[in-house]
Order: sequence, then structure tokens, then C-alpha cells
Amino acid sequence: MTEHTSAHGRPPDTLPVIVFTVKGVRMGTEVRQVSELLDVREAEARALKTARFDEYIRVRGPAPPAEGRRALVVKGGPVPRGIVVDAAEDVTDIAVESIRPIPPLIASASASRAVWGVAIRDDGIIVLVDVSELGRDAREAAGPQGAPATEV
Amino acid sequence: MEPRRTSALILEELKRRRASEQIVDVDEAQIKLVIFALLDELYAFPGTDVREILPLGKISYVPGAPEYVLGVINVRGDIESVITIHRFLDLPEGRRTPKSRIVLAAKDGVRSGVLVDSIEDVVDVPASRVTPPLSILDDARKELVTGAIEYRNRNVTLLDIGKVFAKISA
Repeated sequence: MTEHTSAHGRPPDTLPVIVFTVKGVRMGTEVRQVSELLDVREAEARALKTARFDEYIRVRGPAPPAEGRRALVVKGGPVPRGIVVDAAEDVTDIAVESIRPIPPLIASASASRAVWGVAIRDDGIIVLVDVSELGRDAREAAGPQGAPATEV
Repeated sequence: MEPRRTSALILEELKRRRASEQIVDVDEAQIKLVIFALLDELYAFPGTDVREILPLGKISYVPGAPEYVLGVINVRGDIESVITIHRFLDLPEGRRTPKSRIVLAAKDGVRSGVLVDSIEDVVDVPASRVTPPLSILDDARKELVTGAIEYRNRNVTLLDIGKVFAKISA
């Protein structure tokens, strides 16, 4: 998880997140990890390196139609990269007290470090993802040019 | 000599039976078992490993989790994982039905829900009724099985949920 603390070094009371869906799974990532939210066509026009979310982490289920897909442009890294999601729903503040860690059994069995928590909301559960961690292993192996993003 | 009344004989017999049951209770250790079904087969966890039996509600999938992790559930504000153990027992996946339940189990400091096709019973049985695992079990199953009992003329396989958790965490 990207460090996010208040001026006094304590966690904030709320975490602003962008809520998005991939194959029907609701997820959220910290707003401050994302510099832009683009229509996929615009990402193509800018020749941004992009990869679908589920190229980094496997997500079960059938992919919905491509219309409405958005690219989250991730801050940091050697080159800007876009992570393509099926839809971006909302920007919302999540109360930190509603956040729970991933149960140890799942954390130990999962290949990715990117999924770090779960927020309990009245309308269901939001899986919290550190998008800067997505593909970190592959990028480290690939060196400064980054991987596994592909041109769109 | 006056014949003894039937009622007295019955009461005496009942008293004798009760006394013999009490002797069994004192002498024989009992174990509690939570018996459940996976497809057509019966399995059981020791009651000491079961925290709660939950109705099947919404399971939220967690990306990146292996196939046998179904996702997470919200249990009164706590997030618990839910797994399926079918594949560890070489069984095809069961179908989720209104009889499906989540057994919240804990062992060796690890806790998780386990999806089962139905709960059959919660029983106390004498420890002596537990027989060793069948020698014909394949290696994958043998690792998880601690024994067997007969229950209503059916075989019930006793599982060590701690071994399942250890396999997943390994």
C-alpha cells in the first residue's frame, strides 16, 4: 500500500478512492495514485502504454463488452502507463474504520501484493488495490523500460 | 409369591439402562462432530474446529486469489475468507443451493469459511467409534483424513481442516 498518512504521521480518517469494476468485481484505488482517468480511445490517441487490469491480476468471469472501458493513468514509474478497467464508477471517501485487511489465508495464497484490503460499505464490499504494485514483479524483471504494458 | 407388576419391571429396566448409559458417559470420551455433505459423500470436522455455521450469503470475489478461494464474506463487520475443499478431495465442484452453508472453521491460528453443500447433523459420538482412515485412500486425501465413523449406515470421513489450511498457506 502506498504510504498515506496525516501531518501527524497517523492514518487519515478517510481514504479518497476511485471505484471501478473489472468483470463485475468492484474495486477501489487511492485517488492519489492516479493522475488521470481517460477514455480508452483517448489513451490510444496519446499512444499511452496500457494493459488491461486482468493482465496483471487474474479476475474470474466473462469480460463485459468493451464499450465504456476507461484507462487509469498511474502516477510514478519510468513511463506513464494506463490500466484499463471495464468502468469507473465514482470517486468516494472511504472511512478508514470500514477497512479490513485481506484475510491471511487469501494473502498467503495470492500471487499479487497489489490487493491489500477490503472496505465494508452499505452497498457491499470494495476490494482495495494498490495500482502502483500492479506488475511490479514484471517491471523489476524487465528493467527501466517497464512491462507488461502493450501499445493500444 | 405375588408376580411383579409390569410397570415395576419396566421402571426397573429403565433404571438399569440409565445406569449403564451413565457408566458409558463416564468411561468413554465423546467427540463432537459437525457432519456435512459434499455432493453425495459425508464428511465431518471436529466440533472444536468449528466456530459457526453460516447461511450462504454473498461471497465477494478477490482478484488474484487461487481457484479454491471463493472470496470473502462480511460476518458482523469482520471479513472472513471462504474456500472450497472439493478439489482437495478430488471432487467436482458442488452446486450452490438453498441448503448450502458456510462452516466457519479455525485451527492453528488460521480461520476461514468452508463452503459445504449441506449440514447433515451435529453429533456427539464415542471416540472409540472413530476408525482409522481407509488404506485405499489416495495420497491427496490421506493427508487430510483423520478417520471415519458410521452414521446412519453411511460412512463419514473425518477431515483435519488444519491440514487444508496448511496446504493453502504453503
